[in-house]
Amino acid sequence: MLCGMENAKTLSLQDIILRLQRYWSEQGCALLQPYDMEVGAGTFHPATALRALGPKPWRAAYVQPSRRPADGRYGENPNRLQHYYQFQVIMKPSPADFQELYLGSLEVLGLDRAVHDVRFIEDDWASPTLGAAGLGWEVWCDGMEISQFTYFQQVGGFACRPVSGEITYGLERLAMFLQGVENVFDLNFGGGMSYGDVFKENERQYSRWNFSGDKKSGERLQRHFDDAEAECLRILKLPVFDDTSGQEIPMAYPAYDQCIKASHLFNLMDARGMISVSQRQSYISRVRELARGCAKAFLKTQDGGATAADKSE
Amino acid sequence: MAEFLLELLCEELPPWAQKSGRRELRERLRAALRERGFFGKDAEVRDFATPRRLVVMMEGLADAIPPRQEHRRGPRTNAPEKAILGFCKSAGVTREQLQQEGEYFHAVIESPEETLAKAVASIAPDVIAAIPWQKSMRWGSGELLFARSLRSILCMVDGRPVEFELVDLPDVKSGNETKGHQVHAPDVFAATDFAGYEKKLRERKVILDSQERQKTIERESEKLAKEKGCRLVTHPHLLETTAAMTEWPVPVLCSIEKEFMELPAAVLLQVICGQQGYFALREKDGEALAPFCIAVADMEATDDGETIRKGHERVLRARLKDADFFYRRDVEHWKQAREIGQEAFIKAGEEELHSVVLYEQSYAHCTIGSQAGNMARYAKAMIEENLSARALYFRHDVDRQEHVFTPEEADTAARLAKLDLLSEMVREFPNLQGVIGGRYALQAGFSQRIAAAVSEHYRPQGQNDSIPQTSLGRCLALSDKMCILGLFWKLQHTLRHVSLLPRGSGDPHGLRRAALGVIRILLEAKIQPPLKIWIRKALDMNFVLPSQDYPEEEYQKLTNDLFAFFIERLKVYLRQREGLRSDVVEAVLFGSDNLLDICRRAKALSTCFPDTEEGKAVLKGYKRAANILRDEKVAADAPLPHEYALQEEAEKNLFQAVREAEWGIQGEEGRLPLTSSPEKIQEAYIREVACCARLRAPIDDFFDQVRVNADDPALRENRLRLLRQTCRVLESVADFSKISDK
Repeated sequence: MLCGMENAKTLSLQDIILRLQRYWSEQGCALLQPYDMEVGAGTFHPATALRALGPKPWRAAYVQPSRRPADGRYGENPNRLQHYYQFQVIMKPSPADFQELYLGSLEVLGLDRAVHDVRFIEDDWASPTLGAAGLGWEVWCDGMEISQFTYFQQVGGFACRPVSGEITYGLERLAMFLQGVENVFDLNFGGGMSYGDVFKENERQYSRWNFSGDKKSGERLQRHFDDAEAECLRILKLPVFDDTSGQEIPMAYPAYDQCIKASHLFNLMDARGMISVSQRQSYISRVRELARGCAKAFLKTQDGGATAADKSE
Repeated sequence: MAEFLLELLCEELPPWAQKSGRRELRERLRAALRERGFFGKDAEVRDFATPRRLVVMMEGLADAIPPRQEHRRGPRTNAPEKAILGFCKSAGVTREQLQQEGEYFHAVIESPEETLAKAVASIAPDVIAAIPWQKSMRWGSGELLFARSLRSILCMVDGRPVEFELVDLPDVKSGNETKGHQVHAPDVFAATDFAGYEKKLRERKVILDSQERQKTIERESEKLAKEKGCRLVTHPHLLETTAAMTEWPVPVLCSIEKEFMELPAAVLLQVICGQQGYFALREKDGEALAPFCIAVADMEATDDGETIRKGHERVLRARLKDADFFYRRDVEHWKQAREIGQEAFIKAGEEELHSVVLYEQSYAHCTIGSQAGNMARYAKAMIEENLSARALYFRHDVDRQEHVFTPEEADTAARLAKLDLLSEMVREFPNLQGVIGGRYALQAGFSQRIAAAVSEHYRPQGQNDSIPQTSLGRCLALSDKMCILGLFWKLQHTLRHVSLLPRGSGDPHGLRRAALGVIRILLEAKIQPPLKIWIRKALDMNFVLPSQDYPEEEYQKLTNDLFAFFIERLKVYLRQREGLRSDVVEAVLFGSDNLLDICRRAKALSTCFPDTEEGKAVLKGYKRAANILRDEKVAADAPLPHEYALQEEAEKNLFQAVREAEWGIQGEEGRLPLTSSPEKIQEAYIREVACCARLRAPIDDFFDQVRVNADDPALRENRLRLLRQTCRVLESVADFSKISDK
């Protein structure tokens, strides 16, 4: 076991990722790679959002780059980014010692529990766009939020049985805490580079792009949203029987890609201030409808635990 | 006598779940054990909660209930076989064991001796599964719904473990084991009786009693404060919360950097107490905040809390830096008013407020900007319309020169009041709305009076909050609340498909709070407006549907609706605050819309009715008289009785007493005008009620000794008239028919 802050201070951001990956791999998680689409949080990865549904056991861990266009500050704010990393762990069913496993991961990162006060503070989670909700905590270490801990209760409007346990580490926040750094761009990223060396220019460029855009490009975003929605609905409406392969293949994953896409486009329009309060509600419920459809479709797939009998229904 | 101990070890329970969980567990266990005869009059129960456990302990329980025999009647002998078998099953006997008595089957149910341990084992699983939660969850593969994961169950009767399982949570079995503090003593240990359990927990750094944890936090924090020569800002809610978030609380003193101490105190408190949950400290003398705060850790760190302190200081620094950044940005913005002129500054802000949505639904579109505009017109109208009325509304303030304000000032303050909603600070800390606006108004060069009014126009914000202290502040607060109420009443009238007004426990737009705010300001500041006219004015203010105006009858209906809402809130307020019964308030309404007057009358009436002996008797007499008058169909405006026609002593006495009561109620100079001093008016009302109470003996004697239904029709008529007059005089003080004599 690693102890003391001295050790932790030397951990670069990539060391942290490596240690978390090793640790959770030892706990029986499949180490996945980031999903190759723009998402607002690790939860949107189908490995969490869809796999939390259905009866099949599932354990995975992965880093997920997350985009929140409205949070861009041109790389000038020491705490805010429009693009950051989450480390996500999902275990279904949630093991009885899930909390202890989490605390074990902190020790692997060199956090000495004899001197640090780790607390679980009530923080229930809900994603109106995913139609998802869970109960849990944010984890505070000496007053600083370092993780989110959730027992998934529903996704896409469907109850989760068994229940998945989800842990989300905000990697930058955690690294700042471990390295004792006050500006995210000063983080030791690894490989002799700072976080700023790697990402500052990205932040500047994307902040500019996220907030800019004329009427025409706004209309284009809207159209993209409509297209993604239409494609998602089209996929969901197709019959499960595929003539080409002669098999039953319900398409939850491809449909869900379009749902994520719509969700991100909504975030972009929101960042540009194109959406009024009442429109907002309507966009959110449109995405939620897609998520519900995808969840429903997923439950009919093999990954969703459907048996032959279910399918014939 | 036996002892019973139950501990549910959970993952971190939120404070609300500890509160309701321990209560429900205690009540349900007690009820179940009482029903089975174990919880007698000598039994006692205690309950505890920490973030990780719910505990109930009982002592003085019966050890066992002796064997019993119960005869239970079943279905008729000719009932269908299915029903008979069903009965056998429920009674736990075989078909052959049934006995026939008359037309019915009977079962003799033998219950063997039941021990407490056995009873507990059968009761506890159901009780645990049935605890109602405001919010609950499942975890793992279990089906049980609980506030957070239930990890293990300790269940002991007289020091011996009781074993049971939960159907919906097969992995957890009860026993004699539990764990200590998560950091200091995470290993399993075995418990015996309650005293031993509590002691072992303490050795393992868990204080079971939340009151004791609160005291520890307060005592240790005060010690730390004293060491720095400061005073602790005690904060009951924070104390309760921190105690609910720790098993072994250890206060840690943190420093705040000097540069942040220039921030307004409201901002500092918002960050320190509101956001971070730390205790604030004040300098020894005066109200100034000291550059320290206290965080409460849940462990004894091996480095004496150094690391924890540094961690909290870092978080606080980042938060305060944000706040400081917002503050500077905002001040810079508001200072523009000094260059471009106040009017131009307000105009620019108003423009922006028109894009901040207050409520939007289909074609209804209301912005904060329109609300601010309404408020300004309303405030101005309230003052301008009738300058002599102003003397009435704000009579007790205008005596003092600094409280006198002009309609123009009201207009400026109202238009300024909502501008802070555009500030960075309020976006980050919505709680600071108003207070921070007042502060910024000063920076922008507005007068002290206007700034103070802006700062307090949301008040009163809760039961413990006071009403605005300045006259202009009150004017603004009333305008704000009246306009909001008017707006939503009118919106609801227009948008019939959505529910905007309060219903049941839901009040999405805070309308009950707004009405209560108006009521409190009127009562506490002793302002007596013609409320119905004010309501009508508020309804006129909001142009939801400019193209299609309502007919006058609709306005009348809305006005009456909203007024009825005020009266309902007034009743609730007077019941909670003054302990006045709703029917007593109802009795003094008289269709008046002067809330202050209603309140005084209700208070005066309750000095005697309905609970004193005189009150009860007079009320009884009144009801009897009113019943007779109703049955005999005596007109409300029946003429007075003839004095010469009175025969019996008792009716002569009643006649005289009623006449004296009438004079007493009228007073020597007639009823006092509402502008008289409050004390005088209250005195007069109490005197009126006392006049009613004095009628007790004459009324009682009358009913005892006089037969109303006399044979002589003229005599009978005269006696009915006397009763009518008695009621009439009583009713001039209160409508006694509204008061329940139950």
